[in-house]
Amino acid sequence: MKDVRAPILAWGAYLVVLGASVAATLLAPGLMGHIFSLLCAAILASLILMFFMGLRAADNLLRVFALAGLMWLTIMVSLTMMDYISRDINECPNAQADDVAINTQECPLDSARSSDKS
Amino acid sequence: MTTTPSTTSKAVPDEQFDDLTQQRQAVLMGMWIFLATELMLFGGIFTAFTVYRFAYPDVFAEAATHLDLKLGTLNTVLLVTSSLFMALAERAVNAERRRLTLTFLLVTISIGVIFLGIKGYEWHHEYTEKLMPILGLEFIYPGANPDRAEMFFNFYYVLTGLHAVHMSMGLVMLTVLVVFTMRWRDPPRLGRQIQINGLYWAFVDVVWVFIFTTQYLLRA
Repeated sequence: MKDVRAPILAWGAYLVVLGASVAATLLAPGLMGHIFSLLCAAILASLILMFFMGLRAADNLLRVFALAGLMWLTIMVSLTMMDYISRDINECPNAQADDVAINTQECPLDSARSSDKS
Repeated sequence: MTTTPSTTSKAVPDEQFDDLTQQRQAVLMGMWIFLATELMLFGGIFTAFTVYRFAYPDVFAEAATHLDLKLGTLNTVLLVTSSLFMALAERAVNAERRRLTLTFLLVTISIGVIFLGIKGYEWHHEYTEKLMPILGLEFIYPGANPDRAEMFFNFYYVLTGLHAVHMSMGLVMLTVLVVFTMRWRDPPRLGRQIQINGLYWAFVDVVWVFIFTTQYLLRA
């Protein structure tokens, strides 16, 4: 069989990165640990795409199609999040008094719902 | 390993293609387009999750601690191992090694079944903990902001449930491939079939990586 070594090495690398990601979650919970875990997820997905889905040896047209899917996903997430990031969603001007009493932390999407009703 | 010779011609493409290279490229292109539509399906849910994760970071991070990280990690290891065996099956069929192809496919299926079994055990555990806010079941959350934590568990069950459905579909297709491999009538055609099913199986693995990270690892 040809080229058996590459997927086995990719599998080993995957386990190492996965171990690092889980360790970061256990040892450094919080924002930095979350960012590290998301970076690890991107590396894990890349390993699968390159070695198990054959993008490493694929022709350029196939790579363009694979990237196009990723690009549309990026557009969807970024345009959606642009709204929530660009305004202060922690304010709850239209929230009911009871809501504020029950939910003492924040009420971002509650305020969005209230705005829709008005 | 014994090799059974093919009973059909290896060099003839289907009539609509000029040659086998063009046929293989068309097969791969079609599968990647299908996977892009699958990406949009899961992407919509992940986008909604991102919005709520951004809105309720503390509640979602605390809710994630109620999931079993050990079992989630074990399932992640199992799934990538099954992807490895699927990739090896693809290489075995291209080398026309029937028995080895069959073995790798069966190992892939076995690991997939174990994955679903562990997932089912997890769901049952969460059901007994009353953390399953679906189908009208009682949801009793032992923490602050149970209504927002319920949103986290809704995403968790939608994502893992949809993923399990995809796993099940993949297992059915792999079982069909096992039958085809046992018959061993047209190895080049079987090679293409195993390759596109391998793409699907690996895609399911990619989706799981992000489910595992967003649901299990982004915790308090």
